[in-house]
Amino acid sequence: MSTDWTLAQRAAAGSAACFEALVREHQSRLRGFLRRLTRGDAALADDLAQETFIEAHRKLTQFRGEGSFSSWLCGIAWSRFLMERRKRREEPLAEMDEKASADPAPASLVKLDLERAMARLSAEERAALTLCYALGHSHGEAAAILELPLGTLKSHVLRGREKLKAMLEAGS
Amino acid sequence: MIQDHDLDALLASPLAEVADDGFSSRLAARIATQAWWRERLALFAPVAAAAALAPFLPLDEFTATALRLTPMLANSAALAIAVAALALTLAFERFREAQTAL
Repeated sequence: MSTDWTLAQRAAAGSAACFEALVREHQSRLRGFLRRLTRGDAALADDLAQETFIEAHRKLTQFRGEGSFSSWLCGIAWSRFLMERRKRREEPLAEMDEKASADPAPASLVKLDLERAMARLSAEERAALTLCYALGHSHGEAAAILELPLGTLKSHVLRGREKLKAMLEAGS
Repeated sequence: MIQDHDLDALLASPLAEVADDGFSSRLAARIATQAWWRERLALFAPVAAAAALAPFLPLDEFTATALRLTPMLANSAALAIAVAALALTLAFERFREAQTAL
């Protein structure tokens, strides 16, 4: 069994230290994923990350260790993001572009262009591309995380990739 | 013109590292606070519910019944014999356990 599973078992039994260890291990990936989803809104992404971990803590006994803990967290984060999106509705693109460009994380101009182009994709496309490429999940895992049929997930990946390519070419 | 493999490499580059900056500790503190409130709620909610229901309960009838039954129970020979038998049985059991332990 993985270290994450062991830590999750102990955390479910009441060990606060084990849960904190899980948070320390996964916070960067989860917050990075949520920043992509929220198009660079770090404050909103961190709020969602907090809610995700709190929900994960409440549901720890439901984690059976069949998939990775990271996948399980991403699934909770995605449903939290969808709830937030329903509450707020999508913000105008121009405002989002400013947020993406204000994000200090991208290290190079190419990466900055990628983040700007990503911000113009739909949330499903952003999530699918980030899970399959940057976070290294298989298409099957990503489909399970986003609760989409495999074919739909693959369409999001293909369409998102084509849109990105077109936007990056138009920008260069 | 962007080549497919360049785009793939760009997409596959890891997400920027997000520094913890107290995120984990703040979260742990928030979870601990929530747990503290949940425990208090579990402890005091039944007491509060009972206190809220008390004015609507027929307490006068309870009191009257208790006042009527108490002298009857106190003067009952059958109850006194039963209690004595129970006390003797328990004392005997204790004595036997003590003997076995020795």
